[in-house]
Amino acid sequence: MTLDTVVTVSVHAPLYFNSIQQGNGVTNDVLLDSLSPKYNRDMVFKAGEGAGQSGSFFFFSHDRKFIIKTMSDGELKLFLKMLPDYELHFKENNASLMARIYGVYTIRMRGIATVNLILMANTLNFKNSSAIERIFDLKGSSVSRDVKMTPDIKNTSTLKDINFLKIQGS
Amino acid sequence: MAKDLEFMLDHKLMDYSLLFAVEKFVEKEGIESQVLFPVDEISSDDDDDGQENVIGMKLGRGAINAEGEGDDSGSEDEFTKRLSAASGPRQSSSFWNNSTPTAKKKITDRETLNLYLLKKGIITDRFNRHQFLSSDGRHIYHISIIDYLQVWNTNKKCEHFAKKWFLNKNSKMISAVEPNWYQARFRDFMSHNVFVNN
Repeated sequence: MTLDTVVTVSVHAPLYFNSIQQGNGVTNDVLLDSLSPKYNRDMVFKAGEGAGQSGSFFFFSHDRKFIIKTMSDGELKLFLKMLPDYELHFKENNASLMARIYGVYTIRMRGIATVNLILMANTLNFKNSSAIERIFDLKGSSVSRDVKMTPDIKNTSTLKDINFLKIQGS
Repeated sequence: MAKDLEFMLDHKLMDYSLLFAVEKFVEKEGIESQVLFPVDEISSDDDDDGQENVIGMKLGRGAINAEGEGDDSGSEDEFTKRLSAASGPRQSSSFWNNSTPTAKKKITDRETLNLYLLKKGIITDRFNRHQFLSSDGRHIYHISIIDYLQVWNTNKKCEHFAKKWFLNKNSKMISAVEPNWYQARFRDFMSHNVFVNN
């Protein structure tokens, strides 16, 4: 790859996403700070550290305010279709607990498969990350929702439903 | 949260998770047991009977939610105003619970809590909408709904079918189920195990 490689970035539905950003205090300045390539180079190489089960690739912005992850064409299509409702939902329900998605981008580059990226809020902003006691990912399902409590399980490891119930019951 | 579930059901979304993290909060004197504010958003619309909905885990009892994502307008002044409104004996402000005259003041909305903790120098960042202080003030709960972009599509239907018939799993307990089911089970689990009514 040479330096003059053309990279096309398409920004999807900027108006809807601008509205979601504004509603959540995400200004252009915040984005520029958090996403500045200067600080994020290293983050990209650390990518996938907590890779979700969906197998998507993701990484945190250097200040951990944002998560960037890949998304399939199917998910993109679906999401764009529901976007008007999605934006309205946050307008009407400011206290919504859904992790905000602030933008969706498609990146095309010669010689490389097209990728869709999603920019979303990182909802785990710890005031003091050494004080984390437990993290759970809960679905309400009980099949395969147990993480083995081996000695190398840390406080910051994500546990699941069955672990939650066990800990609660103990 | 009830509204979120409705929204996701309307769009046939499923397989989402509640991300729930427990963080120990600094122990500084003066905040424990003083800082308490009631739930109004977490509680679903249909049990809206004035009960306090509380997140109850053994790790630390109780939690809260409150509205009041505000902008940062006039923080100090606003705080003093609310404080004085609360300490006035005849005024009962909605921000404070003055049920008994000698009761410790309770903070009942997020913005007042932010102002209070910022002023005392206990926190430097505000609590955001995913962060809730436990009712004893010793823990912060981080709560959000994530991974909600999965629709109930052909793939998921196949997964459901395969798990049910080939792996012989209990068809109601696997995660690949029809959105109505998914939502009901999710709601049930959360209201029984996570957001506990006092």
